[in-house]
Amino acid sequence: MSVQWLIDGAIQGSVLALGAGGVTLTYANLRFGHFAHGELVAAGGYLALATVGLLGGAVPALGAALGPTTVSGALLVGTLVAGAGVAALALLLERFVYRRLRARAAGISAVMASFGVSMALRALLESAFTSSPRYYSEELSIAIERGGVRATPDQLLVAATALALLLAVHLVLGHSRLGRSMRAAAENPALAAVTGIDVGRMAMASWIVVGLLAGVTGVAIGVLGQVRPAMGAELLLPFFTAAVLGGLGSLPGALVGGLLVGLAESWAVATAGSEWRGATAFVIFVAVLGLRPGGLFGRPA
Amino acid sequence: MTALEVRGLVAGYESGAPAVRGVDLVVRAGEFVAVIGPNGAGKSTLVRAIAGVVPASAGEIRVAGQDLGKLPAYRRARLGLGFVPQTENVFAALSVRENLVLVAECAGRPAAAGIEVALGAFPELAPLLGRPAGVLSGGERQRLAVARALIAQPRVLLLDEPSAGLAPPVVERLLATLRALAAEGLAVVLVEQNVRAAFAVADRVELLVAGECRLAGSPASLAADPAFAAHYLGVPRPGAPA
Repeated sequence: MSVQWLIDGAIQGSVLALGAGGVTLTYANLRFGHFAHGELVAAGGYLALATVGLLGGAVPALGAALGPTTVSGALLVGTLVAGAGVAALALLLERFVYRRLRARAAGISAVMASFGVSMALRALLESAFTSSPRYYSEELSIAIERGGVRATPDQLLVAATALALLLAVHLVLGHSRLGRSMRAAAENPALAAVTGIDVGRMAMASWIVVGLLAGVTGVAIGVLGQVRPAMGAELLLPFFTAAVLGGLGSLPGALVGGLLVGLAESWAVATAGSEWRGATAFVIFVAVLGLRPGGLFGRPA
Repeated sequence: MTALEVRGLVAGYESGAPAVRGVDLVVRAGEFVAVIGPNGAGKSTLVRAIAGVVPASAGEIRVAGQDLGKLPAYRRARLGLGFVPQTENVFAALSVRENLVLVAECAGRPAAAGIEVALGAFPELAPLLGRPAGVLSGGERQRLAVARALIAQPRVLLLDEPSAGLAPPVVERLLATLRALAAEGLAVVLVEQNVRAAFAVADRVELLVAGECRLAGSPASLAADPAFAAHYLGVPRPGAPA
């Protein structure tokens, strides 16, 4: 059997890791499972699409593809717009929906509200952009072949960007003053407050990081496939599976979990057929909850 | 100089039946005040309300003359009010070093200065710096909790039963450290279940019963007061209305 599935799985896995990183951070710092994460991802995809449309038309030089990839300068700007725009969207949701609900016991109110937010945002995207698929570029990314395995320059760029972004967020949260304060506020808000930490601001900072990750996730999915309103929602189960497999709250866990889920999906497709892709994440999800609910890097639940 | 001035404080989660019902508490710089009283008297709620983690519905809280009563807890902490909660008083997932550095950063001090202050008060924390705070023993954790509060250089330090669950020699050392800090000018308010321990270290003891200060005075004067035994032990005074 060819090892092509390993390459495909690792590339898809890096995108899943990016999505899982957002899910796991929301869970760790804001204390709830955010089921509208998929729509934050899609919003990022469309923000970048709109930027490409506006900038690519106005400044032809920015519309040209960079190097061997199909990614244009306009899309790079669009990625920044997606990250910043989704961070702003997340802050609005925090201010008007989640802030009060998160304070309630068990956090189930915020979880249920996030289902509503998910439906509302998806309907908004569909009415604004229709549900037909859109693309960042008409060009094709031509695969490079080395030793019998293929990958497109787009795929390599996306995987590298995903890994670099996760590493950067991990370093900032692990070693900066902001990261320490965010972790402290997440673990024990009352103690954080008497330590002098503004817990409300730390929640906002967490949403900004989550929004940034979600926005870039949307662009990554769009570069490798299509921009559609359901582009993020369809991957929500693999995102959560990767986050739970890695250990909810752990960013390195999200990375490893994302790669493992991506590899497992790719292996299932290569050996059993593509109709098994969707079931793979579900099987892993159930298995992890049953066998090791704390995940690989989590503390025992 | 007055460090802490609390006037008419009413506080508690249930607005119909506040746990603290009109408490006045004035503490001078360098003074060590112990708050004692039976279970459910409102001792914890009192210090938690002063720190800002329990809502207060009436009253004033002044630190060095500045009214902090309307400010959120994190602002009070930055303005000189230190608080050591009874439980969950360190960040378990953070290392001991991170626990200390975090407070220093919040107080606008260099991390190294924070660690120096902490180790100055509790040198035994030095070998533990790299460990997660969650794995410390009860005594180590309590010392870390107090050390954290000291780094911010508070004018007033509130402690909610720091001796609970600790072995007597550990309690003795902890209280001696607090006593020494008071001698350097810190105003200390210690909520203490153990009356003997409170009497041994405090300049003044406040007896809280049913959310009100019933008696206050030096340990010696309280010990000589027959009303003290009546209030604290629940023995009715001769002639008092039932």
